[in-house]
Amino acid sequence: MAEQTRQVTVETPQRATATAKPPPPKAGPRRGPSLRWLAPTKIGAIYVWIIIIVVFSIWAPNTFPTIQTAKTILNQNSVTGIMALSLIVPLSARVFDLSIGYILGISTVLLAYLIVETSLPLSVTILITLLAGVLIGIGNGTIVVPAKIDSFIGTLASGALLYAVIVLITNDQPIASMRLEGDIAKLSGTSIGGIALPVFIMLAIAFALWWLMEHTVTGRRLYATGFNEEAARLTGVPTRKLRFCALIVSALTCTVAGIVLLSQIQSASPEIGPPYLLDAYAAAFLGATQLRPGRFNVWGTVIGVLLVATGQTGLSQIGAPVWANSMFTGVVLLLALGITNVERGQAARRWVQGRRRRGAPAPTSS
Amino acid sequence: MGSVPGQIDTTSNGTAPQTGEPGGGDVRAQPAVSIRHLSKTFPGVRALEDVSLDVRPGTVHALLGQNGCGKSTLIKVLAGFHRPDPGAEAWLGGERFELGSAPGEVAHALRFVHQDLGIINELDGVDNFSLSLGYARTRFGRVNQRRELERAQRLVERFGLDLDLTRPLAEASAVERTIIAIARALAGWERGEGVLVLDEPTASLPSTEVRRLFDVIQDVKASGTAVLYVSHRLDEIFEIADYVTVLRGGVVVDERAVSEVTPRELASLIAGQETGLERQFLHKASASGGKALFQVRGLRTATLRGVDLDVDRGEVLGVAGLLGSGREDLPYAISGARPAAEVSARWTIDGQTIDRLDISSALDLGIALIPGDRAHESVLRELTVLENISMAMLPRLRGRGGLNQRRERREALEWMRRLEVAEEHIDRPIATLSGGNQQKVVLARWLWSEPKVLAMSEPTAGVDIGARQALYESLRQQAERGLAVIVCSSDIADLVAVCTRVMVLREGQVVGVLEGERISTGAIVSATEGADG
Repeated sequence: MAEQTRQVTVETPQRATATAKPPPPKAGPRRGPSLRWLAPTKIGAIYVWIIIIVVFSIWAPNTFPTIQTAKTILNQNSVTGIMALSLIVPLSARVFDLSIGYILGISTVLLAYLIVETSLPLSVTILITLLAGVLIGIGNGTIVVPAKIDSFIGTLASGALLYAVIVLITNDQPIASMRLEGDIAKLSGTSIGGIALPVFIMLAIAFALWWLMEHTVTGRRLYATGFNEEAARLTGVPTRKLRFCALIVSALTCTVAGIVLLSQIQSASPEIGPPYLLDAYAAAFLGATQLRPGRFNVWGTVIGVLLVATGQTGLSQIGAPVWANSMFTGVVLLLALGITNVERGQAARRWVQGRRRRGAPAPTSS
Repeated sequence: MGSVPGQIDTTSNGTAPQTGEPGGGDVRAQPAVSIRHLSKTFPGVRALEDVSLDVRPGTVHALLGQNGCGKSTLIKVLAGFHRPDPGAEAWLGGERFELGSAPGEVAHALRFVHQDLGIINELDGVDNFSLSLGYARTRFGRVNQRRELERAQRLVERFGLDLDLTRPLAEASAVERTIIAIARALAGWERGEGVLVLDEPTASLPSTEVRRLFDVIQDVKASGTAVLYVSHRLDEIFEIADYVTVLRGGVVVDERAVSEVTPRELASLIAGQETGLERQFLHKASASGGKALFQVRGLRTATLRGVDLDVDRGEVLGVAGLLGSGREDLPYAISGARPAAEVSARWTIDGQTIDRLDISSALDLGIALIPGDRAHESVLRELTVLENISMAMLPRLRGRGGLNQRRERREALEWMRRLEVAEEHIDRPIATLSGGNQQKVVLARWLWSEPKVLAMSEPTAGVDIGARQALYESLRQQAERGLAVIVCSSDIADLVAVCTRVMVLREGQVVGVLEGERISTGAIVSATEGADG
């Protein structure tokens, strides 16, 4: 154990240069496993994040390194954050939900429609919207589990159906009305210490999902279902039920994101949802390279969202052209996944070499 | 018996193949392939030791041995996937060649049909030929469909294969796909050149189709091509082979003409009398006068045709049988792992009788299954050892506020200690462990859940000898504590080492039961084969 730790900390510098600044603070070689948390393998994105902050702070010293920027990044990315978090449960169970962009869209449009066209109290309209989200999740689950349609294609198709409904409701025109600037807008208008309520909603969801994935039986079983469904099934894991429920979780979470989104922009355009799809997937996959490499996890995903958001905010502050944002997202994602692959290959090789050196060729333990 | 490797000259054994078929009648001067002093060492394991082999043109030479005897290593060295230890020599038709050179280097004289056939089921027959033989083009660079089809038809013609080659091969039967693979390997060898290596060609064939494959192999042999036929199935050897080389533990234990050996002799050559694994008799379970703990009556599936089974506390019941006998199906069928619609039986466990069993009710009743295909059915590669061990216990580890992770870790460590898996592995991905340790983790997973009945399929596949002993020991201990164990294995050593009773299956039915002192390799082999009693 000690030996492995040492290898990681000693060997990091050379490799770290590719992505990150100098390695974690010097560690006595025999320090406990806590230091492994600082290895670029696990938190490379944080190093990259720090570099980005440093670079933009030098580039735009008057505007970037301010509290205001930090608040802006948080406040403006809560919807993306919630969207990315919504993917953790289905992706862990190896189910793709490609309809999330349209679920975001339909919940925004539906809530706007209910507020503008009916006189129901806000709480009731929100409740109806959430209920619709659950129903969409049940629909997706039915497509993927009992009907056995591959989730990738199935949710692509259900997304198309949802879009049809969106156009039906909106008549392909954005819904805009004074009524959308009323109570619903207070949701995002409220802030505590300059941090808007949606950020806290995102954090609450993050904590709930973190608890679910890391500290409950269900979380463990979701990972098992995703990694090896047959083995999980033979161990008594209700894999079908979990895959079904995973799609309800993602649909419901996206609906929350839709409600937040409406309160922020106070209008509902039929095209509002889909652009969030890519950013959400990017953050979730980036997150899967962090903290618990190979697993979709909550805090890795949050780091992914913040990393991408910081870069995009910085780029806009230095007046970079519009295309730079997407380019940035793409490059970060490719780098993160590429580096993880290289790291993993090296870790495997180190492990084999370590074994040989110790003169323990036969792979029995102890 | 126990002859020196390489002692395969014309003097020691009658070399003339018993059949007088053309091309096989005489000892030709040149073996089609010769190997001398082939050894192969993997880290910590001597897979092959000083192996010598001659395969003559126009004969079928069988390479026989149990799982892990070195057959597949030998084939992989021949095919160029492994480099042998220094000192090995080989000739193809009298011409020296280097073993372990790049795959495909010696394709002019040595061709392989591997177990998976290398056939793409989604493509049609013509494409499957063309992918490996190259596409014929028209003058304009377009693929010449007509010539492709003609060539494919010409190649299968000699085997009398009546198959629409323009349909995807998924629609063909298993044996037809095998024949396609053979025809493809033989392309250009119409005059009987070279050596064809067939690696377990019958492994995935239904027994009704095996005959057809044998006809094809006879055809190939008659043309003069030498066939190296790798198998672990005794019965086939007597049908198809002229010579047989038996490997055990990486060493050639004997080489014979098939006409001069009896099935019984061959069986003991394969298994060896001393397996190095001591047989230890368990205390026979005190017959509690009456019903056994676990009973299955009239078990029927696609392969099983009415099997009855009884296991009591403290018993280890072995299930033996050849591939296709239903042996590989049985552990899954009795433990609810197969869809309930495909299994009909009546289960009685601890006095409770049911007609239908699915996996979750099986677990509730205390029937656990350790599947045979570790990588696909039991181990969760990406999860840690801890998470793998606790998988079956999770529902019972629920605490207030979620999973009781402190208890999980404590008890998992306890199980690792009991099964001698080093504690330092606990947080590593299980994929970093050896096959033996992985199997121990899987065993720990199920023992922890305290089942009443434990069914195992191929418990020692890919498990090294040391870990095997440890696994046997754990099974014995658990049985003594009152667990009922069912071990289904193709490795007879498993059955001999741990079982109190062995049930032999043939064609989906029980054909014999061996008990106590009567359990021996020879007895099991003869019963599974149905050879001379």
